[in-house]
Amino acid sequence: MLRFSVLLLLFSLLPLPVTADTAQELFSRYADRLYQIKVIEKLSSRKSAIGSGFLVRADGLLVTNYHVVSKFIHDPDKYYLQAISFDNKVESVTVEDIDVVNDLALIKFTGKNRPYLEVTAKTLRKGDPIFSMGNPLDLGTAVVPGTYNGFTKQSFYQRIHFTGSINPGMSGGPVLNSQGKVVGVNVATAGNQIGFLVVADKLLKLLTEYESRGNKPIDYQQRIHEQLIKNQQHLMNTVLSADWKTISLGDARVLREIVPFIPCWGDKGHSNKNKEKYITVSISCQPKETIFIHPGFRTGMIEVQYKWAENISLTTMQFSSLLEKLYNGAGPGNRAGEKDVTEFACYEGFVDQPDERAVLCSRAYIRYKGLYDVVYISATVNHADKGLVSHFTLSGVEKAIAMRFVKRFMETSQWN
Amino acid sequence: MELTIELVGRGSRHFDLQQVSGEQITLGRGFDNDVILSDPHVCAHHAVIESNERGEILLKDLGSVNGTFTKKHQAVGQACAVSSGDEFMLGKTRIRIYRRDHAVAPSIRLTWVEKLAHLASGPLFTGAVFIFAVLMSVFFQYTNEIKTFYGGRELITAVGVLLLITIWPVGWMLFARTKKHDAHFMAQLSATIVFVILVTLIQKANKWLAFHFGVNLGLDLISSGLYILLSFLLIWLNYYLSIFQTSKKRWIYAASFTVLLASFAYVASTFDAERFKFRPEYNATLYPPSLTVYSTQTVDDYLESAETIFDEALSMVDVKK
Repeated sequence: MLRFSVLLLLFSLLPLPVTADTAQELFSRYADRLYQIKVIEKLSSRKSAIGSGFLVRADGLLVTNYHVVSKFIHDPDKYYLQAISFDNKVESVTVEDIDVVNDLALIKFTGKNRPYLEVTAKTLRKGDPIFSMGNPLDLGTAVVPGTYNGFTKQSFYQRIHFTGSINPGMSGGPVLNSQGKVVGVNVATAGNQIGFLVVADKLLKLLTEYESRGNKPIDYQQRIHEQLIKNQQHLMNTVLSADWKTISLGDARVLREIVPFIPCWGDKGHSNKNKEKYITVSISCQPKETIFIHPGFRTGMIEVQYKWAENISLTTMQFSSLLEKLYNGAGPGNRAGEKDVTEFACYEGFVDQPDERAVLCSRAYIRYKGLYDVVYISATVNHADKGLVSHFTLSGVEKAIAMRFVKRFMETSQWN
Repeated sequence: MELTIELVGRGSRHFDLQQVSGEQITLGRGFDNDVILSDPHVCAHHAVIESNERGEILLKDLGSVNGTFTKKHQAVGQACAVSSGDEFMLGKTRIRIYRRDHAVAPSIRLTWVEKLAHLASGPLFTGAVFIFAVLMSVFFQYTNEIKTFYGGRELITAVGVLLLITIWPVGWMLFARTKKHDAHFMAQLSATIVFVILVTLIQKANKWLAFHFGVNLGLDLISSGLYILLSFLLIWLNYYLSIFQTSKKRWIYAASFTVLLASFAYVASTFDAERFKFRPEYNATLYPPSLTVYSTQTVDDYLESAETIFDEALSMVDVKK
């Protein structure tokens, strides 16, 4: 009887402090599958980037983020990679495959019969506890309990929304469910307990691709190239097949949110608090995510911007100067370096309906042939006291697809 | 024997002409000489000019400490035949010896430029161009101002900038003074301000033309040419007002100065061209409809012409590789 009651007590206690116990348990059970990933600069022999990784195969295949190893990918002669185990064993690793769009990399050292983590495609429910692991800020391996909060809304490059702190250095670390299966990979944070994870499906897909290809080594740049081409086709087709609806902005009709993943924000500008000389209203639509290629180069984004200006008491020349200032200095929405892209080539002219001065510019990608950044800006020229400035950037798109977008964008502009 | 002795200073400028006559003309530092040279390197009785029975002029050194030399550094010694206009060195003093009938260079004809210079020297003209330049600058500021226009502040700024520009005519004035010529400051100032006004107007016109007719017309080349031409005219006038020169010399000086300035400007512009441009470069100008002359294309026509930018961008990749 006494024995029974002790047993009962034990059972009743068991499910209560689930998180604390599971975190501890998961950590002690799986810490040996975690690695710290270091990108080492050859000349100084010092680390240049750090991240986390985990074993997914018994033969030493690790998963990390593409952005952790991006320096090595673009400059393999200047860097080398190391994976450091929980007991400080240093393994030198090679990059086996990458997914630049989903920010994943498969890296490998030669090993045998290593314990590894299993990846699961099993769906979770909002509120499920999940556990992020990694090596934040080079402080040592840590486990961070948190909550699964579904997929990110309004996003093209979909991620898991994780409530819990992910810090630099944890990138590439696994996120486990209570059963110890990988449900995501740490990738980014938006501050205060908001973290983003790569969805396990994408990892499974990459693993399948990798295995079906056999042991053939890949050309990293060629792989990035293929993935960017494929991604922009998917992205632009999604955008072009959407129903483009318009809303009024002043006397003009402009595009409203084309697709949910390019959300728009509005703002109104004033000339002067007491004596308003003019009104400007702007709409700016930008995606939340871009594709990271290396620290100075991002692509895979579309931005759209409108500025409406209306005169109150400026002279005609002054109002034209105002429009000129809004029309001035248009630039690409994505960052790129001198080694990544050419300078812009532009065409300028006047188009009708509405009468606009329009500039179309493009710059070519140097390593990814056939891809361009396209920048467009136009301003209406047939009204003395009102005007519309329209702008967009397409980054990392092919010519034919870009031209379809430009045509449709230009044809959408209307005046009431 | 009647002669004219010219004492030549550094830079070939004469600073004294002396009429002398007599059988013997003595040169030296002593007060009993016909031509007194104050140079301490010249002896009390340094040299003498005589004529022989054939009427030739001879120069003799009187055993001076530092000697007497021809222009080609040959010692004069006991006797050296002199042709009218020859140059000699006594100590550190240069002299030229002329017969009275020596032909002088033809006189420089006064041209219409003189009338222009006379007009430009008038305080009325200078004042007028100054005020015009200030008002023009304030007007352009006004048309560009989208917030509150502070006329007084713009006025002060414009005057300040013009005063800064005054450095140029002041420089020429000083140059003229060192050459012992009239300063002509007012005329120099007027010329400079007119130059600034013209350059500003050309800039405005260029901007308007470039907006309407594109860069393909070589407008930049034309305007650069105009700037160079204007600079040349200004510098030519600067020289004209500063010093007396033969027309040919003035052309050469002004042209060389202009070329120098233009190459500075060109080199400075290439620095900018070398920097990688992350933003598109386009004509970021707009005019009100009343000042805009345009003919539109349909979207399809526009895109057909615009399509070439992709190949153009791609060709830059090949250049990079």
